[in-house]
Amino acid sequence: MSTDIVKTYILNRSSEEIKLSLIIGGIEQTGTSLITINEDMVLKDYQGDLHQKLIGQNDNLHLKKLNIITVVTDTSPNHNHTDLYVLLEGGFVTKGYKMEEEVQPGASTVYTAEITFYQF
Amino acid sequence: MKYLLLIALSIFGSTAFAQTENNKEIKEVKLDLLKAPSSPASALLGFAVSDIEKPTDLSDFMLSLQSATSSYTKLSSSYAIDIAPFYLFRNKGADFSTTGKNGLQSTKFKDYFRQSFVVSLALRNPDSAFNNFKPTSTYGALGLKFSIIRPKYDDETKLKLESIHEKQAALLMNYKSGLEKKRKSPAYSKFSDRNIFLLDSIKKLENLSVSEKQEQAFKMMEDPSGEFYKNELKKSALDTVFKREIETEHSKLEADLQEEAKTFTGNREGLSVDIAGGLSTEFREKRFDNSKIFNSGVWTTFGYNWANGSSILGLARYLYNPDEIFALDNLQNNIGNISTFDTGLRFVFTKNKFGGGAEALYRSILSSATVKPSWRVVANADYALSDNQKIIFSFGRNFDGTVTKNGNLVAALTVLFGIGTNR
Repeated sequence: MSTDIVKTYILNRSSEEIKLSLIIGGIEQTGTSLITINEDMVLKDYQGDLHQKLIGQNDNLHLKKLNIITVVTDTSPNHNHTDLYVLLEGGFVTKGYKMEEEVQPGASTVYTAEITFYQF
Repeated sequence: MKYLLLIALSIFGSTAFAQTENNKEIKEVKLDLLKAPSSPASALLGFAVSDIEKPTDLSDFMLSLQSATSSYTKLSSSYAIDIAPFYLFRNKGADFSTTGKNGLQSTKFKDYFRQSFVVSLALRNPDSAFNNFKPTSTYGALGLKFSIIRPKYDDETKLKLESIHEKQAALLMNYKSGLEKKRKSPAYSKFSDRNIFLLDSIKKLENLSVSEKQEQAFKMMEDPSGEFYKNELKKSALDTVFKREIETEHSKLEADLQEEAKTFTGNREGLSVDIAGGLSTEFREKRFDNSKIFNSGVWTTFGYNWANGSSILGLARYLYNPDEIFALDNLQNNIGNISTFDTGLRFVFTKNKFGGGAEALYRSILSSATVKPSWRVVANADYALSDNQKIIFSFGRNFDGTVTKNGNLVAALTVLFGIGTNR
């Protein structure tokens, strides 16, 4: 499975909020994220899971690019599995994207997600 | 001088072992009896830890069920599973990372309860009679495990996490600036432009409503053989190449981060209280309308960890109709439906290379006058000569019948050597 995804997220014609969640795995791993929309910083050095962060409305995200970079470091004494689940809600459909990688003890995986919003 | 000491200790240790081989009680001298089972239901039905399924996500869980039931066509003959429901549904807000606001560092009850909550299920259809299991019956068990109080990370762990976070933040900035620069290449942006063109083409279709256009675009995006999907894959492959180039430029930072993370222990300091409990049922003649309680147990563990690595741990354990009766030196339970109650206390002390500990256990039978309560006290000490060489000394009074009656002392001196160079 890849550690990088490039996706397009279809928006609705509404002013409903778009919500972003980031779920870091597995148990006992350490993750930090940096999130931008186009040139604007949304979150810098955010630690751990992100739960339903409002990142904009359907009506104002057309053709904007959401960029997520998350580094997950293996700090678990029990396994060397890292994963990142990116979840978008509020648009045409709720969509989740999973990336995962096994690493050497103590090593890190840098996950990237580039998501373009599109409104019809 | 050091080697002379080692040789002397080895001989002394061998002698101690030679003596103890004739003394079966020595096998009991170990400081790990004060443990609640990691999976209560599986423990009640006698499953080995390695046989327990532990799904990490919903698809894993469904796959495990499918495999155990031969694609949902029959009941499994033996199946044990531990489900952490808040881990399977992590998008509902439970955080299992170390540094998250609601993660493993959190001292809020709601957070650590959800992180520690495990449901264990087990099913056994024995082919032949063993222990107290009958081949004519089916056995099912349900167990729960959770923390009531969880200690916070100790200062050393917090400092280590801060350092890891700082390095991660530096790494993120490197990747951000590097990717922004590299993604401006025409090779990368041509795929973006082409995909926007494909979406615009659907947008221009006047005979379709907005929802029909959304559905058509969604189908196009999800089709692995389509141009749109392939363009996105090519872009992600380019991102992987860009990342490798950035990684090479900043390899020292990543190596430093790995060095820091490798030695992370996650030690905690303070009071802890954990509860585990389970109940199993025997379905006689394999009929669900003919059942009785087979066995059950409740384990309460409580303790206090100090920052220097020392800890005190207590256990109270109630078992109904256990397979083995601890107060009878772990003999198989032939008495019938009895209740046993065990309490114990363990102290572990560590300072630099020296480690020591003591454990006391009291075992009683609540519902039978035929078995007398028993107790034991064991102390041990160890000294680490190096990372893979350790001297261990154990001393104590066992609760085994013979030893208790004679008041014998059990002692062992052991030298452990690891293979390879000194570390």
